[in-house]
Amino acid sequence: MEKQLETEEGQTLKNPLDSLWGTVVSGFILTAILWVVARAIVSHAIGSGA
Amino acid sequence: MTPQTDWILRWFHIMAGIMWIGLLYFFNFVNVAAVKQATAAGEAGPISKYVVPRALLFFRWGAVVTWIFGAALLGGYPAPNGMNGLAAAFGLQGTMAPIGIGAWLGTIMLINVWTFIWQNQKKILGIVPATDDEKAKARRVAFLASRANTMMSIPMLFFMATGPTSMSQFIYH
Repeated sequence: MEKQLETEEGQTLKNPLDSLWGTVVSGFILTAILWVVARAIVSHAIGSGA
Repeated sequence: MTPQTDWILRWFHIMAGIMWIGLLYFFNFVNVAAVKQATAAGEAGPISKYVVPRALLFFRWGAVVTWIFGAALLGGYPAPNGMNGLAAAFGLQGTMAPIGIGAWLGTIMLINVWTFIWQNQKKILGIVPATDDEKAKARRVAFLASRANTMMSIPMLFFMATGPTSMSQFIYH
């Protein structure tokens, strides 16, 4: 069986992918993170004239 | 690449992509809950026998066709410094980085389909022999891989839609 992760207070940590809406929210968070990465790369390239 | 080649490749890339991601969303938004409810009612058999195998056939081959047309499209794209568009995208080179991130996500999702999802679904559906324990484990792995693909599809579609287009200067500059 899958190992359950717990906090120091003994609460079970849930995998967001077990919930459909947790999955969707995780997708939007991942989009925001990757957008920051993409913008940094594009800005650097334009700044250096590439 | 001629404009005609560009739009034909783009057209087939989008059609196959709708087949792939449409079925991914069918599995995650509809089928998981439907099978759970049908199993509780003792009626899940027909879904597993008649619906899932057909859906998986178009799902996994839709993924391959989408990737091939996407790669061909990128290969003919004019990239900075005279690079090949496909290499520039996967190398996250300059203005090709946004579409490159989308291409990487799509590639990881394709690998997920053929390794974690399809290999485990074959055990679940009885296409390859498996014990009850192996089926239970396969069900969990296939479920999480499918959910991971649903999560990655959200940024993948963002970067596909906003990559090297006239909009990109407002989104990334």
